[in-house]
Amino acid sequence: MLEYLGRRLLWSAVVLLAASMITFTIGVLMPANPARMIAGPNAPASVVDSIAHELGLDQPVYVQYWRYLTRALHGNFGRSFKTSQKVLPTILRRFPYTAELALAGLFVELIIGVSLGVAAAVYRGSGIDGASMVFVLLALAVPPFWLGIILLYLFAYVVPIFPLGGAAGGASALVLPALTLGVTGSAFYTRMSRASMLEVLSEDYVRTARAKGLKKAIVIYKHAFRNALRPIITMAGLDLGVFMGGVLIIEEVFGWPGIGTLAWQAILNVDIPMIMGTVLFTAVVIVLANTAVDILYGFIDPRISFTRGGE
Amino acid sequence: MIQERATEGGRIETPAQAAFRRFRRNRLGVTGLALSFLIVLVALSAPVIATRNPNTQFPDGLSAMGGPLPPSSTFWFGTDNLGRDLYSRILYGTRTSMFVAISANIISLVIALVFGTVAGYAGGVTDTVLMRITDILISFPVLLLAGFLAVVLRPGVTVVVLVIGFSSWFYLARIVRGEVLSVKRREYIEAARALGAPSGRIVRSHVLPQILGQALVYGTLNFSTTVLFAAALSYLGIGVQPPRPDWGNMIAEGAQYLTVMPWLVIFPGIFLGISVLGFNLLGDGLRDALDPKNTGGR
Repeated sequence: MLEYLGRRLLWSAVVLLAASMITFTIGVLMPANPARMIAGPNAPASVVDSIAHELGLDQPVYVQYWRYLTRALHGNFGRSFKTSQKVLPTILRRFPYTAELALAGLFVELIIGVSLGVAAAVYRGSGIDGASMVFVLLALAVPPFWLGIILLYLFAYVVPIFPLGGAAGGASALVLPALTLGVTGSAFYTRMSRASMLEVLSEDYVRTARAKGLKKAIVIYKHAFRNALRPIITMAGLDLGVFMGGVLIIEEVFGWPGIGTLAWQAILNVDIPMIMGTVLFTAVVIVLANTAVDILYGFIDPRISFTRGGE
Repeated sequence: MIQERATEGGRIETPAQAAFRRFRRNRLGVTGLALSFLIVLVALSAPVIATRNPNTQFPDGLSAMGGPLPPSSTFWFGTDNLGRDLYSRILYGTRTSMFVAISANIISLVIALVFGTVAGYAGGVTDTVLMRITDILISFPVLLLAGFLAVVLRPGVTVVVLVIGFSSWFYLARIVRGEVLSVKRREYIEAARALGAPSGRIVRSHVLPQILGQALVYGTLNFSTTVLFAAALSYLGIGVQPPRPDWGNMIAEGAQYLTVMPWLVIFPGIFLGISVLGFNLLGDGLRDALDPKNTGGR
């Protein structure tokens, strides 16, 4: 058990190290001279050189990487070239918005996906089952950014219930982005909870419970549903990680001030420290979420062998 | 398995014939095939079925106020803010989408085949290292990475193809590896090895032909993802660049005029949705036909 935990954490550390290398490579490959960007287009070459020296740009690449790594480990991600504000505090200021959207989106996904999927499995072959399949096909086919735009048009313009984007307006501003994220994502949950429920419903112990004369609702909830939940939890965990890293396209459609739009602006501005910061931050969030899920999964499901971890 | 192969007439079906028979019975799969075929046909025949030049700004395509026109008998889907015919632009957009998706999928399929086959066949340390690399790549924010590459390399069709091709092979490589692992243990491979065939030839003539079918099926499923990915890149402004018509950049341009002329967003979105739906259904149908046991799930 401890060995499994240790191995899993060690692997996460390796992934993060690799992530830092990729991010650093991105920074080095950027078609811009950071010293020139800080100094401004009209600064004399001597000023640019001295800034380059200050930044350590005249050092060999591995020295630069080491410096980057040690600083990043201390939470120092540098300052934005654009706003000269510190990168990490800027990211952390935006993070609550992303977290809010991620949780709300996941909530919508689970509510729609699990209830549709379970209903489809319980009433297999019925109209509900058919309707849920049509929903899955449509939800998989609709481009998320298109759905977002159409929802904005319908419910912020034609019937102005919700604000036309941005995060001002509290909970009502969250509704449309969360719906967009949730509806497009719920297709997988519908499919998966249907398949998982069908599998559990055909198990012997469910049949036994029914044969004992237990009410159908109790059997479905207590015996079947709980056991069908496992794969759903796994996927929700993975999704949470991805969402927490910022859902660029949906944030962009709704002008949501999360990590996604922050990273995107940084890319468009060639703001190297901010790009490196947001990409690394996102990778860290995803890796942490995946690790947490793996470990949790190990606790939930005793059938997972702890001796061969990481699979 | 063996029972399934014998048909009523007592003839023995080949696995391909059995798969075809199963596919034909799958109504959704056949619908998907028809939709995909239609989309490809539209892409190929765009110059013939388009009523106008997609990039011409028609003087009669704008209202007296200089605004776009709603759908009418002259401009079937209406016109955009520059007076261009939306119907013809959408047809040509199909071309762009299909070109990007097909080229990107060829790239990712080749990478996935090489990566997955080497990992699965070599096994041991090579396998571990290669699979760990895909693990790392999977946990990276792909859209950000793609956006970054597109900005660095100047956006355009070629960059979109390369970016999508190089960032969508991870899952496929895992599937290929899994297939190779199962094929590798079969007896005829062992026999080939015992006869002294070199690894390269065993892989080429015994392993690859076995897994190509599966790989193509998952490639089809991946296809719709790539179509959406390309549209998202265009929507963000780092994909296919205007004036070249593309569903993603048409939606992005149309979104600016959403309140006055929603058709600019609605029509390209519907085409995008139909093609994704078509290739999804086709992929699902093919998978069920080739591997009847594996249905549903992710």
